[in-house]
Amino acid sequence: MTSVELVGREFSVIGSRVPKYDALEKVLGEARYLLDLEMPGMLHAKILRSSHPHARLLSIDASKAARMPGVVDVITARDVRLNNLGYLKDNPPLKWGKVRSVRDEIAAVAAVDPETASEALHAIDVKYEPLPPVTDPVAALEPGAPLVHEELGTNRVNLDFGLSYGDVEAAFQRADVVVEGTYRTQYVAHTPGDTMGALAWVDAQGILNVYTNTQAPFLYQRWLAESLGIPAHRVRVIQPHIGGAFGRNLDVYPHDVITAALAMRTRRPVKLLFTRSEELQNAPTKQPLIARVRQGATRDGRLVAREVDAILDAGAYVGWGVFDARVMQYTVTGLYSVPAVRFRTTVVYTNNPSTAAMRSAGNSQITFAVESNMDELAERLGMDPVEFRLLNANRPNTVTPQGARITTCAMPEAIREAARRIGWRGRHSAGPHRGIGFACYFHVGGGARIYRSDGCGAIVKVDDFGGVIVSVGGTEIGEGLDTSIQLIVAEALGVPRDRVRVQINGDASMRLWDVGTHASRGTFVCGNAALRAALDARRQILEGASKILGAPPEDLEVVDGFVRSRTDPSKGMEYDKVVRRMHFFSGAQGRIVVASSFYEPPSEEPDERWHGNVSATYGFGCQAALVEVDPETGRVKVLRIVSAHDAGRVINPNGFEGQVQGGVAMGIGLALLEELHLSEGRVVNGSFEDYRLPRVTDIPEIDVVSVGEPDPEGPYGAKGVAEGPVIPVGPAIANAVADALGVRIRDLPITPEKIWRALALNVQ
Amino acid sequence: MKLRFTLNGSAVELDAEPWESLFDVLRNRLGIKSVKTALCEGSCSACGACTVLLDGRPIYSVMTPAYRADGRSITTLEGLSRGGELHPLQSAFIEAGAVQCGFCTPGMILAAKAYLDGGGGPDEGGIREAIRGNLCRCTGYVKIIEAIRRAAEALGGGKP
Amino acid sequence: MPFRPSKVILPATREEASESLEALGGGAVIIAGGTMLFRLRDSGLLDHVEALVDLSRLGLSYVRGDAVVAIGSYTPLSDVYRWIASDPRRGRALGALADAIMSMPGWQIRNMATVGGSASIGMPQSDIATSLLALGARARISGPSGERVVDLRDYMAAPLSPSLGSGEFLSELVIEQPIGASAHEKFVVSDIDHPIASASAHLALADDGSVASARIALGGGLRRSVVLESPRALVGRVPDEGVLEEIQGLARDSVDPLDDFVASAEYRRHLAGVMARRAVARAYARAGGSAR
Repeated sequence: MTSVELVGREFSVIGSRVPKYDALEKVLGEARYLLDLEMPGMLHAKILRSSHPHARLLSIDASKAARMPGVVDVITARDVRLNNLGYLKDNPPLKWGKVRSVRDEIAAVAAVDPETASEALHAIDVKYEPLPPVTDPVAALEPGAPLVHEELGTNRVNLDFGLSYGDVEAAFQRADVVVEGTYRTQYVAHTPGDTMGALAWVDAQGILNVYTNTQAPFLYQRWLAESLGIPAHRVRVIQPHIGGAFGRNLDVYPHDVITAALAMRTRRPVKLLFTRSEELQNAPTKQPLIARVRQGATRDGRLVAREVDAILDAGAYVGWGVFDARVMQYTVTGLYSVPAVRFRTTVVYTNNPSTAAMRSAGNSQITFAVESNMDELAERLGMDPVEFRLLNANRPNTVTPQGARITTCAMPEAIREAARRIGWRGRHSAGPHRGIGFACYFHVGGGARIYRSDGCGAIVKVDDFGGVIVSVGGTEIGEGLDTSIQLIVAEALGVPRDRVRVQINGDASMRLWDVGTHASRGTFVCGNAALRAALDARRQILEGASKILGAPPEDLEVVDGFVRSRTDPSKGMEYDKVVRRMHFFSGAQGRIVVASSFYEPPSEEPDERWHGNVSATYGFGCQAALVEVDPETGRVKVLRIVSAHDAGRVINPNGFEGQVQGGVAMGIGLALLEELHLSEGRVVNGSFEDYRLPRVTDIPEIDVVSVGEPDPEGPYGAKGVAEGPVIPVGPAIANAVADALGVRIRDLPITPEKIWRALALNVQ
Repeated sequence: MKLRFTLNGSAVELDAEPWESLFDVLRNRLGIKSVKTALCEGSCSACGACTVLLDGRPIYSVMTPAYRADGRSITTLEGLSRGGELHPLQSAFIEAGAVQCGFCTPGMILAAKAYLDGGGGPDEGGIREAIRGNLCRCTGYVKIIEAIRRAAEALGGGKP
Repeated sequence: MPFRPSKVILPATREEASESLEALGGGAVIIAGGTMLFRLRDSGLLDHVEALVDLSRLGLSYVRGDAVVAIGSYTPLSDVYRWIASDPRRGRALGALADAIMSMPGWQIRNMATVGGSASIGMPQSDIATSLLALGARARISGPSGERVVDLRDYMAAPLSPSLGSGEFLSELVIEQPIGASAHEKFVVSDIDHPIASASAHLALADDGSVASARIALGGGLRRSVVLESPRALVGRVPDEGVLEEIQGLARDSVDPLDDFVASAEYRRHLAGVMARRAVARAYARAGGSAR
């Protein structure tokens, strides 16, 4: 079944402007986040971290701390047996023998209040033998560089995301113009309002309960249990309201395991919550990238070859950020039509922060590199950058060299619409000190099979009173999945929207499995699961009504909560009455209406050559940026952004626009503002005072455009859109700055000082 | 120190220590959980999550000594909707789609309330200025500005 | 021991205030708006503090005057701004102070921070202090033996430790010649940034439109604030492009900039010149001058 059968129907709620499902409790101040949660007898945990980026741990003496009044427990690696975390299982939750970054966890304290816990940390005596740190990924690969994990004999991580399709050498030979450049992206912090933490306790049944702001509750359950060495069925994960996450909370981190271990040892609730400076210093960061891009085109503007060499600094332990490379693969091979492609990756251990996926998971980084280079190539070809992009744009019903099967694709429409709305009249025509830049993106829009299952389960229950409760495995972190689910279920069942209550977050053990809220997959994957469950519930109601009303089920429909015959207007009944009759009357059918569905998108796990159709559909878009640059100071003011997206059918306009506007704001942060500055692996601007988040003063006029057509696989034709808007902002602004002043900044963020220096060089 | 003040229209009397902030007292003693914090101990970055109104003026409660509330009137988000009736700003935030994760929402609404109570109108410049002291990571601010504009129009503010 | 003062003293008279400060000596700290104090609460710098001395009941929240403007040290910046903005003449003469106040991100901080507190921080990063320096503000200091008035520059002796004797406190800022026009310019990348470079300029014009007197204060990421008193490049001249170039050069050569991850010293020096030139140009325009 596809939902395309529903296309063309008049919708009752799909596509209408409705309030976000949980907006009311949020404007009343009643939403409760991890920050707000407390339990009687609760202890507070703090973690002692390394004083050095790289050192041998000679000794840890926590005896004084353990004796302090108010301290209930102190743990080091000696006291608890914990299994390593991470894809490569290279990250012990508590370190011993050596420390590899300043964020390394050495000991943890549970005490009656946070102040006592902090004081106890000072009483722990740790003796180190400092080792020379290595904080430059290129230097880390040189012979004789200090080794982060000595037992490996190298700093090169044993992960290779390289791939090659087509005869790349021959294709470059055929190219009339080849342009090469090296592009860099910076360390960025996710910094939601909510900081990281957990609240854990063991209940009378011996179940470990954890309140967590994870985005992936079912993976969290598994990985937490594995690290603690307990069966996962003894772990119950509960998600409160989550104050943003943006990819930060896709993993289980040492602090999660430590909090749980302290709760298991003390048999009391234990809460750990990062302060903001702990967050900026210790939370995983966005994956920084160094990418050398080489692209070749024929004189008439056809892209013929693309080669990207990427260096990814993993930091001390391999986190999900490194797997950004798998998203980068699809952009390297699939953004624009290019027949011969090669991607090489080098993943390196250093004593720097380890990384996590962050909204777009690598795509904003690689698209900055590729789209900046596209503009440079267009300029060398003497072609209009819009024409050049249109010529090479992705098209519907094509397959990329890596095997991504593109079905619906409105990239050409997005480019044309962006150019039209920004008022493009060719290069260097935006006015004095002004410039316009473009960039496109290619991203997953129908889930992303980076795990063996990319599915989501949903349960729809229609109670005796006509209440519809839909529970989904997906996670609400602010993105509005709750609202999409409500709209889809109300539409599919044919009941008023306010009859549908959405059970999202809360106790994961009462929900069906979901891989997690990431990869713009919520509305598509969870929405498809909810749609199928709702259609099943509708079928049950129609079958029940068929017996009650004496009409065949296929003759019946539900409109605004009323079950009626299409052919005989005299036959009809309120749906809740039908449900009651099915349960209690009419020959005592004794049936209640409940349906479940598990939707596994029709995508493929990539093979050993990284070939495969990783998503059930793909999202596309084009952004145009109009900027004004102060030539004296180099300061960039973004005046206008046109953000055009193929998100399939927009089923929740407020949600769509909110995702685009918020994504553009985040993209402006990446482009112009945000950067964690490191010194020997330590963050030196570890406060909100020094870390520049986009504020209202940074926000230009944002023109949000939907250019998509309903997608045959999407629920009511929808495709994912949460990450897309972030992706092309950086390169669009870089291209606009180049258009304004003729200087090309190849490393993010584009600070005024970089522009000022580039201008000074130009003058010379 | 003994303090007496009005919290959302009701009289409150309590003892506060000199080092306690208004935030500490509101959240930990009075259970006002709508007042949030980005936990920027020792460095305020004007995130605005802790905004409350002190005699109608927006302030950051984490940087305000609790004793300063003595004899004055404090408004938090809990004080906006009366008898089940939402304040026009609350309705507008819902209708305009200005809420995503919701962490910044209480502070945003209070900053906006001070603006509208002070005669602020629907002009975008004034609204942007009103929320310069508040940070939002989710929405890109656009729909927050729109919500405040709608509330301003609903209240008929800013007209001579 | 963390910051745990045992009491708050709220004197009702200046005499009481001085007596309390004298009696407590180093164990007392004066609290103004509280923004800096609560920011430093967990820094360890205030762990010795036994008492907060709060002077908010001394009636030090006011702005008044015409020929001489007096601003009580406890006046919130938002009140100062409203007073200036309510009268176009004030808006011209005290424009630098109004600009500086509005350059701070948000009403919350303007409602909390006071003029006296801002002046007492004594750092070039303070936009308020930079604008007051350009306006030639003087500090009225109350103490056990009455009052004395000193140049704000002398009061702002060192970061976080203004030049006060035992029992003394800042009661008022005085701007003696609120004439002509002034403007404040600052360079930031994010609204939340401490100014990377800033400049305030205050000009009085002669009848022929030339500059009769001028004062330029430079702040931002500098080791110390700089005040340029009636620079020769400016006085007696109309600030046309050539003059402004000279001012830019002069400012550039006068500063001792910081060098850190936010900006290099070289770039800050360049910006100091640009900000100075822009502040002078804007103050001149505000004064009604026209450099054809």
